[in-house]
Amino acid sequence: MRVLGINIVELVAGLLAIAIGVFAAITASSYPLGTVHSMGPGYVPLALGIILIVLGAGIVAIEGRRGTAPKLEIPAARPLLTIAASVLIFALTIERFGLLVAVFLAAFVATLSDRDTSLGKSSVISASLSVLALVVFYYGLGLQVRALSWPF
Amino acid sequence: MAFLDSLGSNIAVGFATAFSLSALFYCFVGVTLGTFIGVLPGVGVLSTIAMLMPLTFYLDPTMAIIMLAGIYYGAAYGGSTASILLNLPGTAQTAVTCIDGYPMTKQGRGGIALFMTTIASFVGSVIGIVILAGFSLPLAEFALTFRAPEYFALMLTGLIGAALMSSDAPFKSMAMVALGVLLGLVGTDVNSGVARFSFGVAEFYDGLPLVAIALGLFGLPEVMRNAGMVSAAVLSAKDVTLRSMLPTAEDWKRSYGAMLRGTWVGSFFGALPGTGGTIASFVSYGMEKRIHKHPEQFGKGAIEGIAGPEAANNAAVQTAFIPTLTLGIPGDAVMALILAVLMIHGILPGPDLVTGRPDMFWGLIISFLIGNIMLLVVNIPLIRIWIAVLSIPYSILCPAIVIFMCIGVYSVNYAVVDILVLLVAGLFGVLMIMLQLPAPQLVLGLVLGPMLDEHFRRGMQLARGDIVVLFERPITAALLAISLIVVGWSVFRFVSNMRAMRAQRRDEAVLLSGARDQD
Repeated sequence: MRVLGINIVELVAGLLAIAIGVFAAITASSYPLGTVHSMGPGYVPLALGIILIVLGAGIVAIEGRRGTAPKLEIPAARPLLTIAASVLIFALTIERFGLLVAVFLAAFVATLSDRDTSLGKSSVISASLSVLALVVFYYGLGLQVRALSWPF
Repeated sequence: MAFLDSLGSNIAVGFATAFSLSALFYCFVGVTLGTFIGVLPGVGVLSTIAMLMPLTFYLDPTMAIIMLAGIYYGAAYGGSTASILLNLPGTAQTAVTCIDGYPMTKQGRGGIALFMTTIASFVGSVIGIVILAGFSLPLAEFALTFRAPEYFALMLTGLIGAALMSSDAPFKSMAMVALGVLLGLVGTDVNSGVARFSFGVAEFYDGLPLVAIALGLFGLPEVMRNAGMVSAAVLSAKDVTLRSMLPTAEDWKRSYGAMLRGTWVGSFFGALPGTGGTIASFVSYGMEKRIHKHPEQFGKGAIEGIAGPEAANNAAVQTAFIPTLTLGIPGDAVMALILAVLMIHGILPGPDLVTGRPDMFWGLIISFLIGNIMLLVVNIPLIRIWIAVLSIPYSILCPAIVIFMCIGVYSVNYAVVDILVLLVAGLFGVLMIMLQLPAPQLVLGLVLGPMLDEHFRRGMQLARGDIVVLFERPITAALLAISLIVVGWSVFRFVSNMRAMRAQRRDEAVLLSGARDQD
């Protein structure tokens, strides 16, 4: 697919690079720049921000115009959302509820990425994984985390 | 003679380190775990290392790197199993092995393919190790004279090479290097104490968590892509007996030349920045096909098509350690990760490590050798187990891998923020795949970023602010010339690609209009 004669993939990629470059350059200019003789902390990041803007323009203007346009492939929503949620749940529960609960909940949500799973199957897998994690990481490797905790 | 004497005593020191019981044990654990995770289809070398490297944090530095190197070989080796048996490349390096390995499986020669892979990997590795051992000391002694300008020029050349040599999209590739370097600058600036791009997050003052970013960029998208996949092993473990694995006399005759040629190709590409096992294996495959009397056999189960690339891939794995260990400059993303782990352990690779810590450096080299012997000894009997691993349903693997990643990332600093970084990097990784932006370049930039900034600023101070002076030193001038050649070559290739594509489109248009005329 093309927009204004530019492949959509390159257009988005280039604009993303430009946006990151602008953001980096603006943030970097709030740090002391120093001189060429003795550069401050902002010098190199500012330069990199400008380089990113130039490269982003190159992606759009040069790489975006060549050959056959690659298709923008949208990833399947189900695995994306379930796996992302699984990681988020682990982050939110590991210190509050301990390893057993965090692993069980995160694993349970991750098993939902498979369309054909059932409540029983997911529960068994998650429960086994939390016991396994307890044995390997808590007892085996001495991970510095509580096995089970109750914050309230 | 003095050189040989010192080499001899160094190797003796190395043996003393590597043959300790604990070194052998961790080498074994690393090789086995690396193979186990590497065999899983859809889990690449980089994710395998990133996933397993937190385990090494519990060890002392020498043991940690021995185990880590074992993980690396194991992962590189294990990847070919899935390639051969399932036509699913476990790792990018072994993708080329699918071309002839899978047809061999369909012909009932899968066992032989696995056996020959093991042998080819071993041959490539051992010769690669010898080259690594031979080049490291002279190179390190030469590099002892390097100062900030030389290091800056080396890193710049490495990054440019990495961005341009392995990519067809030079702007995208360079942009990802720049973004990586930028992300590498997050944290407290050592010269001024200013916290750059930290946005008040205290955990970022020491820099972004590398393990979380690497696992996020590579591991999470892999898991998301493979979720819901049904694994189907075409070969059951019972079918592979030791007898069925033994290659025939003809197989041997056809393979050994390919192995040796592959080893040279691999050793060369491995040592160069930006190229590595993947490119080496493809070059070796092309070479075998070109010089073969019956090139039409390739793709239909030609054993040379496995032996050559596998030897090339493994030789490259070894020689890639040359720049990483002697100069402290990794040539690809995997080496960047290994370098980062070393730095977490307080080891700064570079000429000082090679010349000042012979016990560690040579212990490592000898343990590379032992690791490869272990792979050979462990893998041939264990092939049946690896085949069984392939039939573990993904509905169990998927949550297990996610949990393992989360715990691994968390255990590095015990920081919840790191798990959130994993999540953000994972989503960004998915976006990068959609936009076809290369992730390895980003990781390389991320690791080299802080060093690049520091050496550049120090070098410019030495050069009194004149960039021309910075590149007037003989070594920096030579490196600049190399970078310019790489850039020039990349521009040339890009332009000729564009022309070819335009000509093709014109031809197609002519054909189309011709067809219309006939109607």
